Amino acid sequence: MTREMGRPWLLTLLAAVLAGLMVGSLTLGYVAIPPGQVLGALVTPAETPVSLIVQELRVPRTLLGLFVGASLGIAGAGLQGLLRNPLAEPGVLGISNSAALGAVATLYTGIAATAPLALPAAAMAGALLAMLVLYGLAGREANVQTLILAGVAISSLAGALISVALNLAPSAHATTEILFWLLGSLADRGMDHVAWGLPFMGAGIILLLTAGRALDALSMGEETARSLGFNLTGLRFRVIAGATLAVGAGVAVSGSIGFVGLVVPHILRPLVGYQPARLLPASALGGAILLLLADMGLRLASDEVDLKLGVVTALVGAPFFLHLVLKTRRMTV
Amino acid sequence: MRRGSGRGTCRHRLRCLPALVLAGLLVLAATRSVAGNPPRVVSINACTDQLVLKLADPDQIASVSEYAGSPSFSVMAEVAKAYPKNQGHAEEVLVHDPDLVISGPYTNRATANRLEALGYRVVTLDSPDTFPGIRDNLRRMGRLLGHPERAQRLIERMDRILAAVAAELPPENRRLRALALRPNGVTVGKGSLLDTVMQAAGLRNVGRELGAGSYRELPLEHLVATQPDLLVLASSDTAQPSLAQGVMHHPVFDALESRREPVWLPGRLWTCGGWFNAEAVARLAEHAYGIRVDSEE
Repeated sequence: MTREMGRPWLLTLLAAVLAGLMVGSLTLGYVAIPPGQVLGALVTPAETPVSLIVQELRVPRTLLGLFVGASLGIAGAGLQGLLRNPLAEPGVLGISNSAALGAVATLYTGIAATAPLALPAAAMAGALLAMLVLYGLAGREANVQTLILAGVAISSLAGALISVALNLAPSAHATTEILFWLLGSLADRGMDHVAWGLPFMGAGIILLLTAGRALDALSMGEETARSLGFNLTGLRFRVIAGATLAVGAGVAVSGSIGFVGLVVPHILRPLVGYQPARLLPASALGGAILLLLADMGLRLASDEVDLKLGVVTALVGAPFFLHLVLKTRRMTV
Repeated sequence: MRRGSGRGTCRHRLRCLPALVLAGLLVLAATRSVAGNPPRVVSINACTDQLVLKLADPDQIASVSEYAGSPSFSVMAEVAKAYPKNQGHAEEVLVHDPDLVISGPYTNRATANRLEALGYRVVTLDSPDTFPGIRDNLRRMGRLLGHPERAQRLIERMDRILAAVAAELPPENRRLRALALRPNGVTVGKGSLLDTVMQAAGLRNVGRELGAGSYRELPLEHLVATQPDLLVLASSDTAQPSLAQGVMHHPVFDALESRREPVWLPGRLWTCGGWFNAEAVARLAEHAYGIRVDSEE
């Protein structure tokens, strides 16, 4: 714990990088617009194609990249802290898959085509339903192991039902649509996505941020945390509800995006002195950075290949994660 | 919010003019599109691209999708070279500020929703799998683009070819039983465009007997059991495939080889619905029954 108080500049640095990436994300698109014009178009009324592109397409895309990334990062950090398991991430408790299943159901039935809000609403509903089932299965006082196992079961069931939907899809068109949606994307979202997605993601992120001190105590063991006066049942609810709101809304906006919630907390943990309370805000910023980077990368490559966001985060995240695992092993062996 | 009103003023093209200052794309549009003139369109779907390229005046076409230029998919690949391509992103549409956006069933839902929210007129055309559906699509596209008479001529030419083939077909009991093979051992039955084309060419589609819909993997046991007279190789390539395409390496195909030479249909003739499907019908009928119809333009 020698580095416990180290690197107080970390959050400032992450925030600065994030700000730079946001500007980058605004200037990068499918149509070449000089950066100067982009910044000018931010303030001029949306009457020209350029300001329409900037204000109605790139601004929402950048904001959503920021908040979805932050949601995934902080939810991963919160769940890893709560479950005291390095493999925990939003997918482990079934949140991601259940939200995806809700969305896929609207694509499968075609409701998504008639009512644009049906898909995100169903995704949110799927995530909340998974949380209720999780509590029903595992009980309020369940130990961590039961919680994880119940979560994995829910996740597998939702994944299996998604496969059924893909298998029985009414047309090749529906199959393609479901498949592409599952790969994740922030393309051509608008301010309306920001308007309904932000309250959920914001509430989830705030809930998770308030769990910091209790998670710090929990890192010293359940008994210690209890003796320090922390209510572990309440903590568990706060973290899981926060992750459900943030990740559910994130999936509703962007489809399934893996690896951010898993990798980002691992990268940042040594830099915050292994303190969950400091890891939470850092992971939010880190998640936003990783997602914006991935989203910019796929736009840069879009002339050559049409990559989906979830694919890029996995492509970047997996090797990095492997590297981390090997490095930790060398250190401990 | 701002979205609605901003777009509202932009409908009057002249007020948008000073700002069309984008790399190379700017000069478009400005002088055209006074009310009553044919609309300027952006097509963001591989199938609608071809109809737009065929039916619209050149100066009506602001942009077509990148697939329009691919000879594998598009019978209009040559013509498409002259126009800016898009990958179907909303940004690429906005830059042209068209009067009309034409999309297909495979268009990304988020993109179509976004464009509509920004005040653009987005028309989504079905991908038809019957000739009446193709005629409807051509007529609708003709009306949308302001050239119904061109659509009518295309339909008449298509119908002439179909009628000429139909007049020469052998009686029902002498028609060949054919099986369509798409890449990766996929076959089709009722409810697919390829089935419609095969029926019009007087082929009895074995895929129907197997209960295949628009897409069904074909277990090779079925191939052996049904013993089709003719294989229709529906590839997505521009060049005739070798007798390869994965599944066809299997020894069970040798059992069929004593029969007829398979017939090859390039993807551009059967993937999308359009006047060119008549050419696919003519090719099949010529191969199967020696019927010669002038189907080229």
